[in-house]
Amino acid sequence: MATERLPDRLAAPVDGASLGVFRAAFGLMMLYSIVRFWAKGWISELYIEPELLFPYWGFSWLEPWPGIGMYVHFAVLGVLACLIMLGLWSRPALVLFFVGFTYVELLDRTTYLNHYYFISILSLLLAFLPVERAVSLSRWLGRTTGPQSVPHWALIVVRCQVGLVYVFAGLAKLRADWLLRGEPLHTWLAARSDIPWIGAWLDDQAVAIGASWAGALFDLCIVPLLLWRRTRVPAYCALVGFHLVTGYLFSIGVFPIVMILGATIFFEPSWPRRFMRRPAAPPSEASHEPQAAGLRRPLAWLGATLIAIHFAFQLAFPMRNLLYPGDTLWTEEGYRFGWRVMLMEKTGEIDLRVVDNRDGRSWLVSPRERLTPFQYRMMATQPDMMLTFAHHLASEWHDRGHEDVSVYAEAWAALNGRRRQRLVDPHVDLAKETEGWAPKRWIVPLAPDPDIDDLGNSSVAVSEPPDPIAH
Amino acid sequence: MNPRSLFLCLVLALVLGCSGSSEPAFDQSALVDSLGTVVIIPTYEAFADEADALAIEAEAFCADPTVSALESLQAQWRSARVRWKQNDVIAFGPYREQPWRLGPRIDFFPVREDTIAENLAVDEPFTLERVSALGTASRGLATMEFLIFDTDGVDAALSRLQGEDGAQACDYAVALAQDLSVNAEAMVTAWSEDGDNYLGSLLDSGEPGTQFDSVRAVTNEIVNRMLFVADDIRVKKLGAPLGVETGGEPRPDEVESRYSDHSLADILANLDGLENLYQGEFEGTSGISVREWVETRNRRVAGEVLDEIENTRSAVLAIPEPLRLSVETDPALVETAIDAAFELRNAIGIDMVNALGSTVNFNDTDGD
Repeated sequence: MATERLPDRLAAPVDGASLGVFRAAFGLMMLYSIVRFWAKGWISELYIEPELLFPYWGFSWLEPWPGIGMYVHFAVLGVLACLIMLGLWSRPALVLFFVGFTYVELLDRTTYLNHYYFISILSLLLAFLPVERAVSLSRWLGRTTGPQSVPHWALIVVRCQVGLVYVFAGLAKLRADWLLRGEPLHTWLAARSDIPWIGAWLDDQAVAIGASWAGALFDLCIVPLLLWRRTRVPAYCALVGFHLVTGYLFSIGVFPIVMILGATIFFEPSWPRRFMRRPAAPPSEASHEPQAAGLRRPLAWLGATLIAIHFAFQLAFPMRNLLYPGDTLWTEEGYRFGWRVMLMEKTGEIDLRVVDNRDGRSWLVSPRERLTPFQYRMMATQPDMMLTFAHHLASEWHDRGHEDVSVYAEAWAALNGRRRQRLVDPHVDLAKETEGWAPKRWIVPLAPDPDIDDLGNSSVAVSEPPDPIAH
Repeated sequence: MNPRSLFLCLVLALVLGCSGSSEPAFDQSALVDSLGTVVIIPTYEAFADEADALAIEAEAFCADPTVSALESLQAQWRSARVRWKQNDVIAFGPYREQPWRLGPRIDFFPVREDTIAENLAVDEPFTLERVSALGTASRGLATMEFLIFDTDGVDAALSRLQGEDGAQACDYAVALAQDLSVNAEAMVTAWSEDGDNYLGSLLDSGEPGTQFDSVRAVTNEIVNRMLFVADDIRVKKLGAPLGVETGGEPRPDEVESRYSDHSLADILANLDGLENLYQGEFEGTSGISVREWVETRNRRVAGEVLDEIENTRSAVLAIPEPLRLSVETDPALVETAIDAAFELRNAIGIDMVNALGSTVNFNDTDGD
């Protein structure tokens, strides 16, 4: 076995049970998420009631379904989640689920969450994997025949995807705020100091720093610890504990359960057999050869190439923030789709001023009156959303007969306990700025806070709140 | 490092973290309790006293409608108004929730002059029962203000309240004052332990039947209310009359309490109420304050909020009365006050919220 070539090792058959359980758990969690989303009234609150949505750049052509369409859309997603869970017509169900779920996410940047992105990626990946060979209704009904094994690479692909979340989340924590100040955990834990018994500790910065280090170490180490058989059980117990605690302390929805179930993919491929009445026959060498041979076929190489491209993208895309100037948490350029989980307590306030350049008249626009509270909260700290809103205002004023208008933003924000400072240059006409991937030069860089960023360096002496725009 | 050692290190990091100072955390339940008993209920009680006095003054005026009686009634309306506007910062719970929903009954803005005229045109005597059955646009302090004040002076107002038609308006004012008294008392009852005990329900937050799912959500609401009041002063009470939302054309009609020229006093009362809540004190009695809570997180921010309240107050005081005229005669002073309120809004909505880890306009959508 040790002398096998890599393609053969990747194609080696392994029990498909763990992948089947992973698929079923994924479907179950998606079904639960959709029911929860519906029950909380979020379909209407997030996609029907808002006067304006913030679609991603390049996707402004997307619109929510009219009438009860969004409810129908979520109902269909629920049915697809059921099919995925049961393991019946999984492949088309996963493809359609990916399209439907991603459509919802692309409608509005306001609702961006790392785990929503994770769900989109997983549904796409699973659609190309043999997830129905075991633990599926299709198998039970006899629609799926043949061995219950899957090629080893199928498991590796899912493990890599799950592992990337932890690794990038850990790397993102290697910053001074997290490691030296324990922020934003200190703020968030202190906010939960009303919890009986442990509340007093939660207000302690030493606890926050300790928890921050533990969190970073957890994220960075959990994947190898799960992969290594000797440490797998305690590591998984730690993982369950970690996610349950964070789920209890913070409002992070279904993310903890998704990760707890998702991490089972690191177990032995046949682990579900311990709980099944009729264990399947172990994969035989006979089934190995055709698959190994299959990997040499052009179609298999195409698949391998696509997977390689996918993971190259998954490795590079989260690091695109390095191409932008400034602190990513402040500018949020390259922030999304990067697994930067729970890294910032950022608050902001914004007003916009529309100016008719022909007669000099101006209008103060308080976005609170036009956006939902959630949209306002998100836009007030995210410059690219501000730009979208500014363009929306320019368009609205143009429609009112003002042919030449400028839009300026008065946006201030605070990051992880720093004093507030300008986020956007108030002299830049946002109506004339274009959306896209290019660096936004009109974002005011994060200035050091003498109470926080000095850290004993007397060369940084700022006595007044920094205002780079002040004349 | 072997896995077991690594695991022990992780545990050690947590233990070391937990073995630090374990001074008591700030008790948010105690804060809510203190704010309720020291600030909120006493302020509503003070308003109820003023509303009782207003009903007495209204009856006295209508029995003998003279200039001095009207001036006395108007002065009492102003006193009641100040107490009420101090409570804008706690406009949640019985203020807006069913079954009480007392806020709109006490203060509906803007005044609907047509609706009031329609009510007066109905040939039916005004009684407490009749007014209590009217919609909120026909009731409250603002409607009463329209009846008993006139921007042309007390004589003009008196002339509208005399004669056969004036008697009808006077009776309307009396019934409104009585209705205010009833609703003010209902507000006290709603909050009080020996009444509906809304304060108690706040402290029991999270239990079945309570409005908030935790005491943390209650303190979050209080922070949001502070932010709202600061922003409302800036955008609606000063900005809208100045025309900042309408292309720079002043809109004096947008001024609150414009018939009584009490607009700036309303704003100052808003600021007093905001400060009372922040400082946890009322009329010389003090308890646990929001300021102390902020101080546990960031002393600089705690002091800055107070400074910005004072700066805004000074800027508002610098505007000459009445505001409906100042927006046209002294727009620069109004703009200065707007700028001051902007800083106050930011101090609360950005720095204070950031320090406390609060959520602006609470929404339970997930985060990560």
